Amino acid sequence: MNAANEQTGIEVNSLSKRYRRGTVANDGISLAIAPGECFGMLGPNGAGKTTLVRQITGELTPSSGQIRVFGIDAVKRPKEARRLLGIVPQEAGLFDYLTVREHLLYFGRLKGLKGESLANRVKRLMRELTLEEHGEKRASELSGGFKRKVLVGIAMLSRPRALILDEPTTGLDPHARREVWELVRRCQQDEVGVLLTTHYMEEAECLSDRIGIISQGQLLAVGTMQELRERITSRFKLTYTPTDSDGLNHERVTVYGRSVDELRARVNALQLEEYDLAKTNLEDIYLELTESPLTLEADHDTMAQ
Amino acid sequence: MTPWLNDTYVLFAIESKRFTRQAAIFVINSLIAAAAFFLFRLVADPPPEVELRLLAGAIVFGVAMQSINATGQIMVSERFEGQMKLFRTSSISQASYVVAVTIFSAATAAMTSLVVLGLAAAAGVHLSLSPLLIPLIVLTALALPGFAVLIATHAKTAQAGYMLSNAVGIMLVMISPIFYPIDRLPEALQWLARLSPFTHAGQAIHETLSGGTAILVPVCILLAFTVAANAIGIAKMRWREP
Repeated sequence: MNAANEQTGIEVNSLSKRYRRGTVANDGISLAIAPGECFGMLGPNGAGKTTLVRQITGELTPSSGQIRVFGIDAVKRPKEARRLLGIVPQEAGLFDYLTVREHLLYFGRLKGLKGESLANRVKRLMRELTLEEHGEKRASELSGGFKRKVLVGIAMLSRPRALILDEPTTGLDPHARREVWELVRRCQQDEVGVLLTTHYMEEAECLSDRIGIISQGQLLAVGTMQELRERITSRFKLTYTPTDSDGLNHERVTVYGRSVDELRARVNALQLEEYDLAKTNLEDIYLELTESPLTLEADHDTMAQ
Repeated sequence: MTPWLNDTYVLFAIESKRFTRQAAIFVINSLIAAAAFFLFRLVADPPPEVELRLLAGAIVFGVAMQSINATGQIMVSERFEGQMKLFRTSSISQASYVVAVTIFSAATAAMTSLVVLGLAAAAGVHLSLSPLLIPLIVLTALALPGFAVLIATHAKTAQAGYMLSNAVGIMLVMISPIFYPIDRLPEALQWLARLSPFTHAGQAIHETLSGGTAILVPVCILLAFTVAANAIGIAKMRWREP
């Protein structure tokens, strides 16, 4: 095992996946996730997020490229690599006839735990995930949110060195979502690296140390929020509600600018009394990188209308 | 305990909970073969020799359908409802999974035969309850689930998986002369029937229920089917999705 790779955690180099029918789901993706780092992967549906996850977890064999998990070649030795990972797959299902506690106990045994250490681990996870009250409920009696929490619990059982969370909070209510976030943060404190795919901008922004934006199989950008903001032309945005000559309000309008001064000039020109002036957020960055560029020229048109 | 044995044992325990939590369904299933036997008996009022053949046929019918269908249905539902994915991410081997599901299905199939035998004995059917019945029933249950594994893991949709595993089970039982002697079939169909392990299972179980012990050849054939079908099932099953 290479000491440098061991420190990297998860390392993906020039990873490509081409399906038999010619669809390129991942195209030359490279990224690295350090222990204790949370890497958020954002992208529209069909962008290639889950394909990337499935290759890292050994479910899919890459067409080309390398994946190393704490120094282990995950393409050649997927089983060994998987032992270091806690995985919450997007479409995993629980057994309707097993209780929450039984799920954790059985899967704990499949992950090599036994006896008191298994019992203690299950007890602790149930407390951390606030599943104690539901321990004896069968999966068929649980809401979608609780099922996701059990899946997160199963992934955490063996104290993995890295967590792969493929949309882990989909279907969770805001309360439950924050409990999962708290768990992710605790993992980071324990030096566990996290790869998180999500559709929720707020989640990615809140949890991720770095964010990758993927579209059509290509990693368009990787960086901290600050670094991503620097990659786009529009760093600030002005939001206001235009009023016509009869005093009627129209739909809210958002325009983007390179500087605060530029947008203030617009405020003055339009004689706006109520408006919001803010830094562009992750959603704006995401939209610019994956869909329509938020150029100043386009905004002029909006303004003119 | 080796990791492989541990995994197989835990997976079997998970599947067994299915039985304890849904016992009524399994009991009803196991009564179908018994019902078939008693219906034939009532309608045909057969002589003792024919009665034992019908009983052997009912046992093979119940065991074959239960083992192939249970294996197929468990794997189809676990594949399409995401539990198989959960196993894959837990680093267990596909062999552990197949062996656990197959043994569970065989165990429920064996229970079906016990219900048929118990009810037949209670109803006054003169039969020889030889210990040889146990390995025979176990081999009958293990002879073909390997093909159900292939169907379940290669089917494109859940519905196709359910339908195909049912169809294969029914077809194999239909081509096997389990309720009557093989020489009643036309020559060409006899050749086909000999390719089915259930034909040999029916012969051997009938022989044993009649008090005979000349079952070495059918047992060897069943053993060969068991090894071949399950080895193919494990080797060629689709564990990772494409």
